Amino acid sequence: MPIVNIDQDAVTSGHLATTDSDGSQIDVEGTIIPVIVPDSDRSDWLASYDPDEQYSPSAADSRIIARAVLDSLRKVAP
Amino acid sequence: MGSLDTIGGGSAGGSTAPGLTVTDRSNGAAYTVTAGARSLSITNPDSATLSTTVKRASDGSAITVTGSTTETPSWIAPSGGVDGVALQVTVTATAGGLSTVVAFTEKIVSTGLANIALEEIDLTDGTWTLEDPDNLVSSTAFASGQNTITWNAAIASSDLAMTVGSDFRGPRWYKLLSISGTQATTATPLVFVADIEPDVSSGSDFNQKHYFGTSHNPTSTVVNTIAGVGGGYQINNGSTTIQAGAWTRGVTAFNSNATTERTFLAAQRGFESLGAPAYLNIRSNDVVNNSNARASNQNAIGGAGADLYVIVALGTATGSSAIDAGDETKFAASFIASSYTGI
Repeated sequence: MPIVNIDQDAVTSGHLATTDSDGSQIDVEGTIIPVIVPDSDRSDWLASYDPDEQYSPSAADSRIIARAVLDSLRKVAP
Repeated sequence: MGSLDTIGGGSAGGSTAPGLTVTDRSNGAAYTVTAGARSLSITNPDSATLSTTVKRASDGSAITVTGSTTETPSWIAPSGGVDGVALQVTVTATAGGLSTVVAFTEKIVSTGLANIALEEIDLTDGTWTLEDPDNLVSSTAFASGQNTITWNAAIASSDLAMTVGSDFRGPRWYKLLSISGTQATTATPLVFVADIEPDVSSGSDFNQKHYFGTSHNPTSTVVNTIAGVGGGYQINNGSTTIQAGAWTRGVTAFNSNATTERTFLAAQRGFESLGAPAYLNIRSNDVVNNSNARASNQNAIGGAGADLYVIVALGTATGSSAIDAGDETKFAASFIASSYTGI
């Protein structure tokens, strides 16, 4: 099962005006959490995801990313 | 004791040029002094009319002299900066239509890489060119170190924010980036440093966001052609809270804090690439509120050795922010850039 890592030392709060992964522009105050996808897991992640399938990725794979991000957020949340 | 030059002839009809000596100063000589308070002790035995002027040798600009008509004139010698400074001091005694002059040079040595003084941004000093595609600037003023830009009315538009859409039509001032007299280009490895201090004393008149940095296409209306890197700030309508930080092309990464007074930023570029800008947001008591950086993610800007400019670009914070006629933008800012070899 592929993994992701979080650069917890680089987690910051700020106002970011930039471009989202879907191409839309965002302008938001928020917590910036750098997610690291190891090169060794990159192809596994992409293979497990079909953007045209509404149930993709699997719940188990989704939790890997979700839990990593949320664990990071818990550490910085007031 | 100084020596004397006589202007207007020597003795004529029994009259002689007035006496004049300046303690520890000789006519035509050069001296090295330190920056800060300077004063002279003048001996004026004939009670002539005295005048002391101090000018920068580089450009002739005047240094304010206190007590310029007295026997103890004083002034503040500026920092030598990176290049050093030479001041031309002229003391003149005039009586009976005759003058005696003692003129000399005082040099303030370079401070090297320590305590480098930044160049104040005065958008009215004649060195900046305004590019204002939609005629949004009503007037520009400068006083007490602060620029005040008064706006014409503007409807909300994504073209007034570099961070919204691909175009930018906000007004921008620019000038060639000269580093100790050498023109910087897109190939020059350099660090651009700026200090930006927005004025929030009365609250922002509109949702405003502004940009300070370098560009090789400062007049372009396409954000990624401007390809700027540096810093900026944002103040929302009615707010006195400064959001400030890094700017790279169409991205800003700011931190917001009600106690931030100014931002100190450094942005690399060179080798036809944009580097990463980093910043410290600082309170009035010199405590740092935030620090951060932003990767430009642009390793090729296509400048091919084009001249670089300093750019000050003004706009709105969002694409839905309008500007009323008479709204103002106020800030003090200064910058300097240094280039490197052997990298």
